[in-house]
Amino acid sequence: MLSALLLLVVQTASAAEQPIGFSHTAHIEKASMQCTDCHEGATSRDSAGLPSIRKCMLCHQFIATDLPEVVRLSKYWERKHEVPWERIYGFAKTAAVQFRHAPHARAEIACSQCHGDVASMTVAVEAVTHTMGSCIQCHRDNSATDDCLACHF
Amino acid sequence: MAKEATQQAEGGTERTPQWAMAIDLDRCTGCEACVLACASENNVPTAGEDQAAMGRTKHWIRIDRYYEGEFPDIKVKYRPVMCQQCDEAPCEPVCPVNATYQNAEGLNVQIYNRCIGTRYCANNCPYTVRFFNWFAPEWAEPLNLQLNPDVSIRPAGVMEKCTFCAHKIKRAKLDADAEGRELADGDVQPACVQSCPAEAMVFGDMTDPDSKVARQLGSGRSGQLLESLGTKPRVFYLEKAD
Repeated sequence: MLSALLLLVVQTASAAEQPIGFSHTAHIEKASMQCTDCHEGATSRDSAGLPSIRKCMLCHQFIATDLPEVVRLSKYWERKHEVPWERIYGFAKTAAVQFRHAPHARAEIACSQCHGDVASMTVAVEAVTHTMGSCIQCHRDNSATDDCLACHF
Repeated sequence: MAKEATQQAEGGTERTPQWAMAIDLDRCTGCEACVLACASENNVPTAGEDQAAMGRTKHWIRIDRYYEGEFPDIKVKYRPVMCQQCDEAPCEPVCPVNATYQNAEGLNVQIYNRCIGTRYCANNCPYTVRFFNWFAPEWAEPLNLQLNPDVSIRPAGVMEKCTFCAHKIKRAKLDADAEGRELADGDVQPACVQSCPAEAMVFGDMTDPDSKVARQLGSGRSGQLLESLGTKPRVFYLEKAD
């Protein structure tokens, strides 16, 4: 119980303040969408990417238009603004890390391995802490390279 | 040659390429296109007029000039010099934190966030191709917008040098992998090689007998810079034998 409470505190602490309370679980569990429907680059590019508001509005011009968060979304749309999403994952510039999503997707590393069970989250939180130790452990477990140059250049 | 232990740790049965460069000095015109291409590819900042006048410029590649004969019967020879990616690199054993080492592909690697800035490596490099960041690099706007996201910005306090465009090697490997094919000769083109209008520079896997670079090395014209030191560079210079 205590650890669960602690986890909740940690999760709340790491949850970024998002402009819209986007529910991952509603899209993945209820609407049966895939992560890559919105984070298009995850399997093919360096960066998974955040979707443009145009992508949101493909559906939300017609679907669930009366929900409060969707109303907030359409206000951005009317003002012709992108939603200023806060990134919750990424490496500090000083870490000099070059991460590529595509080769990890090709190696069939599930999104949840590095991003946690996003499918059950409402607003995404930083559920997994990325450290060099965790990266190297996974690389070794999967007989991937552990050359420093693989990531640091 | 490459360290066997590292090679095993890489895993898999794929052949490990051994990168090398051949530079044809009879083709080089000293135009410095490579110098410019390198700086923009690798986010190498300019020093500014005042600092440059004091010899504080930073270039991962430079053109050395050699004059032969007396005016007017004078001949100028140019030699592009970058990190020679030595097999027996003098910079490596003097690093107290292993920030520079030779990887399985024969690249002399510099890991910026491991570097503590002792500068022993630069002092031990006979080719003077290592540069220390005394200050954090700055780019006057809007030049900051042209930085290459594939290459880390080196902070103050670390050493840097030519990487043989390690990020482009990485990119070429990933592209080949995505297309489900083997890395082909010519897939990897460091910025200097790519930009050379005289096509004086060739880069590739020297253990692949069909590669351009292997053919150049076997031409009988190739030599290494300061060969007598026994550093065994991976950069080979081609010249007409006198």
